Amino acid sequence: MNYQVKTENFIGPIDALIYLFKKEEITPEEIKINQIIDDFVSFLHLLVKYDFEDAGEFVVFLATLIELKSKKILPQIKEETEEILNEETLQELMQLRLEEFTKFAEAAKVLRVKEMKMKEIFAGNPPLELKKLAGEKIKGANLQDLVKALSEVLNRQKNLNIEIIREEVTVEEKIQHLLAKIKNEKSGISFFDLFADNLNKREIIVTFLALLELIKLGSIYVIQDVLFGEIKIFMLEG
Amino acid sequence: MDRQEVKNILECMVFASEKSLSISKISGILNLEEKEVKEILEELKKDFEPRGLQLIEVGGGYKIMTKPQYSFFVKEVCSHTTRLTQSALETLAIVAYRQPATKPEIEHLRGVNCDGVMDTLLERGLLRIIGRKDVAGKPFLFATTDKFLLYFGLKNIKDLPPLEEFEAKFKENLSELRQDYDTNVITLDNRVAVNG
Repeated sequence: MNYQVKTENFIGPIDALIYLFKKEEITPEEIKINQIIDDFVSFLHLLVKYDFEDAGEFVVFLATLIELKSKKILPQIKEETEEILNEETLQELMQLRLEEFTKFAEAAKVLRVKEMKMKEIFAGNPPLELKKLAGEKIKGANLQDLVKALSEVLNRQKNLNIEIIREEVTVEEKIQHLLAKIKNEKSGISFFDLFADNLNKREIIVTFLALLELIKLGSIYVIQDVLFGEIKIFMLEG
Repeated sequence: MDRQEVKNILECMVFASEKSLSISKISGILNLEEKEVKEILEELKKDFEPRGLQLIEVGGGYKIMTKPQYSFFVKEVCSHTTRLTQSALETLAIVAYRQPATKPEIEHLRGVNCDGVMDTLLERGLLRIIGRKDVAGKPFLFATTDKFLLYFGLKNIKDLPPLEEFEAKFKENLSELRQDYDTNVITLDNRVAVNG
């Protein structure tokens, strides 16, 4: 295509421009993409008959130029280092990392000896046992804990095998019901107590959804003092 | 308050404290010079010598514990058998020497994911989060706790043997291995020569 790109320091076909740009004889600042596009569009308007193939080719070159320029002006990320790593340097790096790690493995051995030594001496009560600190005992229960507890409730219900008369309860009704129930228990109510009165599956799920909604609204909070322990539900004041 | 009385109080405080009790804390409570507290604690340490208990410096403070030579009997009434896993020890070793360390740094060194083991160590109070590193992603910075020192019977973090020691040891092992290898190759060559 004989269309000539004109910039401050260059006049010629676009592929020549790309070539020079790649060779860094032209800086990214010198290439004004919008200027090139405007020129090209006005050139197209002048044409009586379009040569789609030529115009298409120009667009491809232009796209290449845009890509090159954007790559040049974006901050360089040194990702190439990983690509040019040959087998040898890779092994060297692995060796270095291994050496580094070996030091810590040796240190771990020393820690093991010290641990064993400490197992021979005892402090009075409370013993130096690896368990949760007393002060950290109360911890918020997370969704996973709640879901686990729910599946337990559903399992219990499965074993009951009682004929149930369907009575529809909505989540909104259940929320009011739960609020009233929890408000009465100043020292918290057990998660399982909420499901105590032989609820059917639907009611269990509605209760659970109501519980989640109340947590989301911030009206209640749930705690679980030990892992897999009982989950207690409290009213939030105010 | 005479000196014996102060010594008795110190003995009670150290005995009753779950954590190891630091000199600065004692001096704050009793309104005594740290130097004096240290002196009295040293005296107390001597007083314990003929007895079954001992006063030891550990975890940045003092603690009263049984003497190791009686462990055989003590274990009958008070056993603690939990042991940290190998991966927990390696993770602790890395944090202890590199602290503050981020999870990616630890995982890079160990070459495996450390989510589970880090959670356990945090839960057990052997590690703690002390902030975030000011790099992309702002990862948590982990450090060891006083409980870590107490668990391993270390006075303070400087009580750990220097890491360079292990480097020397590793190099030693490596050169030994190389020597073994060289001699084996030589004897093999000789055998070939003799047989041939």
